[in-house]
Amino acid sequence: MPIMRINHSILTALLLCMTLCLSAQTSREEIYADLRKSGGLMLEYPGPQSVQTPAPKGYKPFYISHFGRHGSRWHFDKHCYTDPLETLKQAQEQGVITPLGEDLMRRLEIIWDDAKDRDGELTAKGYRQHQGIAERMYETFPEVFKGDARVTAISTDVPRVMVSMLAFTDRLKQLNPRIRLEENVSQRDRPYVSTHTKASLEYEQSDSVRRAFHEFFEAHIQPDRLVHSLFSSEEFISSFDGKSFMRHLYETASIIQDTELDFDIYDVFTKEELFDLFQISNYDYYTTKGSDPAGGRTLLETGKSLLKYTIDCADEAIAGGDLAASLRFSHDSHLCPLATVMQLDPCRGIETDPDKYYTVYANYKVSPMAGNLQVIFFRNRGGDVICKILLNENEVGIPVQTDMYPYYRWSDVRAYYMEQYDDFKDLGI
Amino acid sequence: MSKKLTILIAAAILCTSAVAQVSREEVLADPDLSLGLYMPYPGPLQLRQSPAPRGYEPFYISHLGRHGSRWHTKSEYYERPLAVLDSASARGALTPLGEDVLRRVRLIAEDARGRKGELTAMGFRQHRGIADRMYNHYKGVFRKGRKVTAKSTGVPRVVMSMQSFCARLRECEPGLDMTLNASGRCRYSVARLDKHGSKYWKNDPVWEQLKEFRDSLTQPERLMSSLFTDQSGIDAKSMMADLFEVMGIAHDTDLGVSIDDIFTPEERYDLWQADNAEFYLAKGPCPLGGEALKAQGLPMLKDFIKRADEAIADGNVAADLRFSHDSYIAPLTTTMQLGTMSRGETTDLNEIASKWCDWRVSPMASNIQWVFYRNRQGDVIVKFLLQEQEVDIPVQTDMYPYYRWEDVKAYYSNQYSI
Repeated sequence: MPIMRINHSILTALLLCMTLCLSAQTSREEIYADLRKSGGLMLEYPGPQSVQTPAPKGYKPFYISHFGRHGSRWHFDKHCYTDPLETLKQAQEQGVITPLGEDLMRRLEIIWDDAKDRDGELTAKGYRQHQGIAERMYETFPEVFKGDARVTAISTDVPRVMVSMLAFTDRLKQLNPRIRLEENVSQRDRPYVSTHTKASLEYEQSDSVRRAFHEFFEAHIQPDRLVHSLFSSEEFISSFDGKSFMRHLYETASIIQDTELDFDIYDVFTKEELFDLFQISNYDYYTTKGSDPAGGRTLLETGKSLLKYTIDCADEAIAGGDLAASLRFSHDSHLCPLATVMQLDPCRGIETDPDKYYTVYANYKVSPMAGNLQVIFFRNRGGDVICKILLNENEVGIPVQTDMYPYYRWSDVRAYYMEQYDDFKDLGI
Repeated sequence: MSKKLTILIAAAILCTSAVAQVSREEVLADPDLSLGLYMPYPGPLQLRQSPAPRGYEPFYISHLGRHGSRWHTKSEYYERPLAVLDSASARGALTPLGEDVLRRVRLIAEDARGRKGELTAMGFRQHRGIADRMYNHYKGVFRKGRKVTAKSTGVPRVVMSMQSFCARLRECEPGLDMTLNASGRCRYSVARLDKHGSKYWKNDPVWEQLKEFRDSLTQPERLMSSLFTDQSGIDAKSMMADLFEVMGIAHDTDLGVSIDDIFTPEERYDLWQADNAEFYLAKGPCPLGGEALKAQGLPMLKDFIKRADEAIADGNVAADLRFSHDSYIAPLTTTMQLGTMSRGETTDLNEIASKWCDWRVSPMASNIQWVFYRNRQGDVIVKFLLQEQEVDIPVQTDMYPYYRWEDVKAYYSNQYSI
């Protein structure tokens, strides 16, 4: 490991550079280059984008703390599919549909046929995403799962989340049938899989936050061009809510990537429109689940109970128990606050201009479908414990000093969080 | 009586179920036979399977299982009687036994808190055991690369039952091509009833009779005076019913706390009779419900037949596993006319308990299995298991418990014009 011999100032410079690369600002061009990203939270799991940095000499992985979002799903609000389809059908009946409109209608019918009766459910792709993450976890850190390793798994009680957990753990069992799996879905575990601070809910639903979102929404959804490309009558166009139509159509356009369907409907949008629509959902997440300074501590601490579990289970594993992995399965609305409370590099950008939020925070980088956060723990013979953090299987930094990035001394990480959130005990859990 | 003995007796009764019905005397001798739908899985009821006719090998299993042992689905089942006992204690209105029962009910309620409707550790074990035996009895079915499709309702205890079951199968054969799902579309396979008889459920006078029947069987005087020195302000009948609920479900955890002793065997038998009658009227072969009641399980039966035909044609399908609730298992036994009991007809509420037992049909983790065999010529035969015990259906056969698949299909399609 030559890197170990480099002196500290060079290393620090190197680290700074790496950290900057990792938290690199998101640009319009990035989304234009892959329109699926405009779907934000609906982006299908992109998988690991980089190779793992080998652990410092003498360190072996022994424990993994994981928190994952369910995989790709169908929309839980069926109106995303049915409302635009209904409008198009009416236009067709009235003879005011353009050829592009008719073509779109045919595609929406196929999509709806696929989605019908499956509100909010995991797609086959979502199932495979979790199998894949489990497989890579197992293969990247085989020492963790050897023998009759004890693995705990908990989830929220929503079917797509439970089935994600089943897909994940079934693959682990397939790879090593001797794994002792303790899997459950219990109301008792709810504080560890979902965030529920009263303060954050009140903040999220406060008038000022809602009003500001509404203004941003209104300014970034411009359906004029779109509806004129689909419908040929001004009268018809003025007979329905164009913004709602466009929003629903965008939702449908974004979710296709999460199914087995092999076409898209991006051609009915311009890339500028898609970018604006992405900004709306991204605005929502930055201001209610990200590091928006306007939200202060309330926002920062929303994911505290989730982090507390991470620390408690790590304590248990380090104390010499037989715990090999703690797996959790949940939703984007909980993964994002966890990433925020942990102050991961891509989740601690500060920006006050709503039109630039996307430059410091991109929800699809934090929580695409099957998005996940893993803390991998390593130990050497002397019993020193270090860890690294993976966001969607890519190494990320946190604001803790280290001379071996992406690895951190666990005692430093733990101390940092305990100091930051010294009122952990107030959680009552 | 020990749990083991209860299971043995349940097994003995079930093994002879083709002829004998459970009698009042048997239940009084072992009151745990009146646990009804809360009875922990009494299986396996038959350890050795009848050998298949010469030349036949098992190749496919179609299964429907109820979730395993669980906590109550509503917290008030624990909290309501606890509150009554608590407030009686506060005003000094409990006997020494009453105080002791308060302590025990509190332990049971605390164990259940935050676990409403969830699968207990015992429930996990039940499914693991069933899977283990399914694999070991029919090894040829679960060979590497063969397909297993498991589906459940979206209720956590059911999903976890499936998890426990499938994790065991996975241990037995890691190479299975297995997928697990709990989607809305799964309900077509795991939770669908034919509701054509809705008039019966709403309007039949029997439902009024049932209320009176239950009322006459709920005799709380002895129990209440054993617990309370002052019963003022307490609804004795509903308190007795609440304690009966706590008593029953306490059998489904490993907590080891029981309030069985506060009831006499006769009281338990009587209270169970009312529950049993209610379930029979709603899901059993009660003639009052006519053909509509008997056909309630038809969508499930059709799914069994359709998937079996697909599996026979495909050749690589090992099993269709379905995880669901008692309210879907019981109708399927009725529609299938599975075992003598599910053909037991009566309109006399007093007679129901001697014809039909809810805990035989659907104890915790209850299950129906259709096991298919094939010979070299491609002839397909099938046998039916209820709680892992071979049972009959009203179809002619010269090789019981095995039936020719074509005869089975012909019978059902004729019965229900499928």
